[in-house]
Amino acid sequence: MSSNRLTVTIVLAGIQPLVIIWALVMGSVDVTLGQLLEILRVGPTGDIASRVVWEIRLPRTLGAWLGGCSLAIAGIMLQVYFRNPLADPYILGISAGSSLMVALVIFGGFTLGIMTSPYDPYALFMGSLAGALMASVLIVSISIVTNRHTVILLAGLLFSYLAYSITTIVQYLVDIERFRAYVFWMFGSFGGVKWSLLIPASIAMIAASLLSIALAKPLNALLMGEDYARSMGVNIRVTRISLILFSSLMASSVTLLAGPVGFIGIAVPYVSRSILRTSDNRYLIPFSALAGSTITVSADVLARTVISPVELPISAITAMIGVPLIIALLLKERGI
Amino acid sequence: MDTSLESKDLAAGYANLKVLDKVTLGIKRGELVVVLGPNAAGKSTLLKTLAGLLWPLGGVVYIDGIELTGLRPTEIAKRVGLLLTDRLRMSRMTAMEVVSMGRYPYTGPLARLSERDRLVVRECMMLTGTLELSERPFDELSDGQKQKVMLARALAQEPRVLILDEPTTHLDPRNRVEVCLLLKRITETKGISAIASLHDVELALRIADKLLVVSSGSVALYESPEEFVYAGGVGDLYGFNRYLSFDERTMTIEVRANSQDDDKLAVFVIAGGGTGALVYRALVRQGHRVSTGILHSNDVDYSVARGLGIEVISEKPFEEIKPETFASGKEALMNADVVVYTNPPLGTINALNSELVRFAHSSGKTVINVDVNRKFWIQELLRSMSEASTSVKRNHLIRRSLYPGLVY
Repeated sequence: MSSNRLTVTIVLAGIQPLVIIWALVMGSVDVTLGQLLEILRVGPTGDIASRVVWEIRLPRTLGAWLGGCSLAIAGIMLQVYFRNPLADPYILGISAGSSLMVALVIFGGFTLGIMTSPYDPYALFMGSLAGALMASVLIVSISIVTNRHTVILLAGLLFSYLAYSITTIVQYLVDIERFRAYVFWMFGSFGGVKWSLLIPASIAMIAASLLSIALAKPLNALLMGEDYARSMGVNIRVTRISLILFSSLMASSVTLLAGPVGFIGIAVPYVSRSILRTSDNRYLIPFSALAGSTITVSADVLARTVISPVELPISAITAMIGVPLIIALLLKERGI
Repeated sequence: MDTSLESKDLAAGYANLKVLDKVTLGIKRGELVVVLGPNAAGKSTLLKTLAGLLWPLGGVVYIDGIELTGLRPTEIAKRVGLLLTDRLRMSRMTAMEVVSMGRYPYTGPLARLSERDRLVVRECMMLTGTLELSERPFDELSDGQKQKVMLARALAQEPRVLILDEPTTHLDPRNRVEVCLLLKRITETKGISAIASLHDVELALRIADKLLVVSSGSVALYESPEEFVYAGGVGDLYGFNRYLSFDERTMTIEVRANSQDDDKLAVFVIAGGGTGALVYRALVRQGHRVSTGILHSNDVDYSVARGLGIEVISEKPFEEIKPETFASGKEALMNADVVVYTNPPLGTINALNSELVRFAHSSGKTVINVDVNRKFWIQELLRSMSEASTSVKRNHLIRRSLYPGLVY
């Protein structure tokens, strides 16, 4: 059984290059497979096709790939920790926090004097990260004072409402041009991914993803609840802090690159559990990461090709793929 | 090192609430200590503190002579195993995967099991009788099987001490006893010490080596259940009243008769030799006012009757029924509406009971004959009782109609 799980995971890993190549070929500018390989081999030139691949499709595809992987892992970790299959970074207010801080950066020039322009991508990164960490710190603090997970989840939800309401007020007060920049960000799209954003975000996401695999073992023990986990030797404190830290790092990286991307965090862990037929996080984390990448890259391709040249928000596509998939799985088998 | 688990002046509780103070105790290797106490007395708090889940507010806990708070979580896990009440759901995990998690403190960062790990897991499943459930999904097991699997998991940690917080609460009586017996066997054969809180006092008194009684902020350790029982501990602890009583000889809790209902009958039961026990319980449950006799005070019927709060006409052990006792038996019988005869084994010392039956017939009492060895005796008894009840009521009515003024 466990060898089956390994096989499925290896196969999924094996098709990743194909998924990425497919994503690079697809789009409104025709690039054949031969051209693509040549463009990648030669490196960036001033040629139109080369610029499309190197400046637009490659960063956004890599961003979507890493972003999907990160959201899936963050989703799994938070679901196990909160013992709730509905938990994802959004429910905990991490994205709401990011949105608020990004709004403050875009609208208020709230850059702490570090950055010169509010449109500076690194200012957005700092804003997004600060917002996510703010939400995480709040959630962790609440989870220290109470062990009631409903309270913790409700707190995240309420924080989201609060953050969005402040964001709404800020939006209302600013000029239309900045408002459009923000709304674009809020739609969620990997279209704006630039290398300058991608590199720091990738480092954070890759590091957090790799470190998350080390959390698989304590997360498995946490399936039995905190008391049992502790009795088996889990250092709950260290686990909780690293788990929240990693997931907020990953969620803020994605939010920075693409704005809020919904549904991957909930749907992918669920689908992975159904496919692997296990709750063993040592298998689930790598598999979900790969499944998340595949789905997110595919959704990104669909988002930019379905009614090309107009782009759809990626969250709309992920939900459109995810909802029927989950309903089908629910009908096929009983229980979660 | 003979003492596995020890505490000195332990204060347990939460940051702003000290629940227990000055807890000093020692549990020897292979001993099974049962923790008793009313709800909210602090049993769980004590057990969690001993298990290292709660930080002591004061004092020290030693496991094998090593201070618990100085140990890293994995080091504690190699010494202390835990079993809780929780009804767990572990979706898509097999029983064996759950037990394997007990190897947590021994495995590397990816929790890969070594040959020895696998061996220990199998051994623990064998010991708890769960090996044949290995490949079954944990969620599909019964509550009893789940607790046994969780126990196997705790054992897989190869602990010196098992700490169990009401492990049998959700279980049916049979599984309750099975888990307790399993626990007893483990402590005896593996030399593991166990400290378990139980709700079921009667079961606790039957399996415990020692009793730890938690109440009003502190604990008392009794060297044996009997010591606790004869000190009147059960009554003190649970505050028995006119509805509940505890019988020290049979170690059982009884629901006392306390009917004030005029509609019910006064019943005199002629019993003995254990033929009366079930009849008393049935009649008391129905709400009838029961008295019984003539019993010797070493008879099991006597114990049960006393536990139920029934009036008993009794004689000293192994002595023939004296004329005075017989007279008070007749008097009690005359006060009853109905007489039930349970066909007790009669010998020389209680032969007068058959005399009592004859007396009942001659004085016109309704006598219901019960043979508890017959299959449907209880249905027969209850039917006879309801017939008797209507006829007694009719008699009351006839008596009243002689005085018409009272009827209208």
